[in-house]
Amino acid sequence: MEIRGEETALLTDAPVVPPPIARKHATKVIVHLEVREVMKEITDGVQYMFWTFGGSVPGKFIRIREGDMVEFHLKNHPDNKLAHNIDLHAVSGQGGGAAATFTAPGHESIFSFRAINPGLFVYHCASAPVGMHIANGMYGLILVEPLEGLPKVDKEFYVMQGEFYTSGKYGQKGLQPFSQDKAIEENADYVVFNGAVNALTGDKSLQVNVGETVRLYLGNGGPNLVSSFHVIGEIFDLVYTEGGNRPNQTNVQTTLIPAGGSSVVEFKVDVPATYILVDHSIFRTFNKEALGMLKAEGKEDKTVYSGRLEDKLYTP
Amino acid sequence: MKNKIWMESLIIIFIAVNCMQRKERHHALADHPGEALASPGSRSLYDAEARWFNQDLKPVALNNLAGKIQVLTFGFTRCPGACPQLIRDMQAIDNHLPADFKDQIHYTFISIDPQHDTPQALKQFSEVMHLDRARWQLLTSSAGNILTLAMLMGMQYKETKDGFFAHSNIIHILNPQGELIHQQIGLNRDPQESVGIIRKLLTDKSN
Amino acid sequence: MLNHYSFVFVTTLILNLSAENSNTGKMVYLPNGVYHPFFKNSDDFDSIRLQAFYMDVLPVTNGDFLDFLKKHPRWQKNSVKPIFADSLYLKALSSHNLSEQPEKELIQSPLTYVSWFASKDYCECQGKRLPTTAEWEYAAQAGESEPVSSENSPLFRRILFWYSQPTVFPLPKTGSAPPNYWGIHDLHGLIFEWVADFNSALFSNDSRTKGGLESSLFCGSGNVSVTDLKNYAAYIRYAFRSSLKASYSISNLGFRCVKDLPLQGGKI
Repeated sequence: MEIRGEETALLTDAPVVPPPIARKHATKVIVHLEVREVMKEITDGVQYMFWTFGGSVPGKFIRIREGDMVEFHLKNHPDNKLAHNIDLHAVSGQGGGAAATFTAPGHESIFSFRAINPGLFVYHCASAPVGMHIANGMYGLILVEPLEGLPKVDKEFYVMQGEFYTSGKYGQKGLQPFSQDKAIEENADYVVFNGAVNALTGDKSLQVNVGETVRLYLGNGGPNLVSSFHVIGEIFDLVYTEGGNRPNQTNVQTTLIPAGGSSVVEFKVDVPATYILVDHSIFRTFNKEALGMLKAEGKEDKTVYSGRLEDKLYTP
Repeated sequence: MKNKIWMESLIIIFIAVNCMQRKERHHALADHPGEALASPGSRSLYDAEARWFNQDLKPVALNNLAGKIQVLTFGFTRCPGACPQLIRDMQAIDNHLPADFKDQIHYTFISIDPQHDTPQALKQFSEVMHLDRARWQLLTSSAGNILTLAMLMGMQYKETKDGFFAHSNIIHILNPQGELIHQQIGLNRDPQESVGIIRKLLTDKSN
Repeated sequence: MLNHYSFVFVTTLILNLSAENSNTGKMVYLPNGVYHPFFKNSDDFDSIRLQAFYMDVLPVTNGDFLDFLKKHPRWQKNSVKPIFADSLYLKALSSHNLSEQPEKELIQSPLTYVSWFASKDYCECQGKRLPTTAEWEYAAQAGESEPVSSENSPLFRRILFWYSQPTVFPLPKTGSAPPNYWGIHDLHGLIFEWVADFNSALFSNDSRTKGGLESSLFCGSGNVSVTDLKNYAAYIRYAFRSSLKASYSISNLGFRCVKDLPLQGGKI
């Protein structure tokens, strides 16, 4: 397959996704991704030192096409404390790029790979100790569109689940260091979408209109927990199980996203509502904040969903 | 009386200067970077001036290697497999080079085992490996000098519990100014890339 | 007459001592010991016997290095050869002319943005040397009241806590935190430090590949294995060291020196 021309990849922060790829040929794509260690809040008053690809958790969304030649630049900001690297699950080759990209602070590593396989792939840091780097937020998604492209939908969103392990209890305020013990025991304090409690609620909810088709590019950075992903009030018309490039199931309520894996779901929004994204391991939703919102506005259809019709006494 | 004071002042000054210089002198005996061989911005490895000895017990300053294209590797003579293979890989490169230009390319083997690899041991090794005296040089120096040069070239090595060494297998190519141009990494590699780079260096040299 | 010669003697002695001891800094004695390496190939030593040695109590400070530069101008930023230091060399000192007095704060904070070559030379100019990884880790495994910290000790927690915080520039002055069992300050919680053999861990930087050495890239067989899987603090230090090259000058990487015992008695 011939490579024609070159372009710099447009990278986006979750929940935004770069636009679908229009070109019908393979090209050289230059990706610039910067590692930053940043202090942010997991929730109100709880500060955490996140290690990030691009300044946020999850890391930037990378969108390329099958056959593209990627020239990847991994930069480690000089103010960072530690060395980092990247393993992209889309890469065929040693460590997914990890050995070639191990970078000290204030340095940049460059390597290239061919996107041989289409699909939605996780990328993450693979520096020792790997669990700690991932637990601190070093994960994101790279989408390799198949040659024929993906069917058009009205809205696309990027949602990635991950959990956090803090020394203090859930909600304990102040700067919370990473807890190695809890991470090894898989006893998470926070299980969240897009790197923080309420990252996808309130005015940060995903917004759609009734009648629109929606595609969610889903990832699970882990480091430990598998997600039982469900959207309350919706059914997935199509599921690309485990992020493969072909949909292989229809009418699914809850689908698994493996730790270090992905999934793609599509659905058409039939009625207005606030749809709730959850991990259906339900205590995670209500006690650890694995909760997001998708707000759909538009015309009601009472035949699909009537809302409460009547409230009357029940006296058996 | 006046003369005596002068004498004593001179003695004090002499001792003081000597003390301050002692550190510098001690320092000069250890390996430390000397004056630049090339221009201030150069990346010549020959800037790491230090005293080395070859298999004929001749002292060799690193900048004696300048002027020729150097194909260089690190190893040790007791090495069971990898080092002889590295030498064969260097010979494989040489076999592909144009005969007319061979005198512009030299080969250097640097020992990482100064304790065992005396100049005599190096000489014996070069005879066993049938190395062309005119184009091959085997070098040893202090452990500190070897470490500094290895660090400059990204070469890793350490002692193992059986008394041998684990080390990276790299063939380095330096231009006539001593700048590191290419590294052939691993054993038994296809020499074509290195050959291509040397040919280009030869062309650049003749222009 | 006697007074006169005493004067000469004392003056000479003072000059002698000051020339020898300026910049040596305070050191403490660590006895013979054994260090169990954190990363170990099957052909590595299971344990490393260490001869007693002296270690600097504090990391080298900006003030120490500025004094050194006056005597060894070839290590100044505008004279150093590019192969011995990259373009960030001495960045924290770059706005300071050697003839000016930098702020007290800067003088007492640890030197960073310094390459391995410069660090090695600094130590050797004082008759000292860089510590080996084994020596540094041997000194650093001590807690405040014991020579070897146990797993899950306050020391490990303190180190992980340091990784959870952003680096504050300019760095705080050396010696602020309490010393460890040996009387050494700042082995943790301030900067990373160069060691003589930082590049000899020889493991794949992709830490998941436990058998990960590509055997033809490195001569030396067997697997790389970690002897203490829960020691995340050590993982991070070893990983950091293996990302370095000797010419690198990094914002949170400095060094200190060690000294061998004299062969036969004598003072340091």
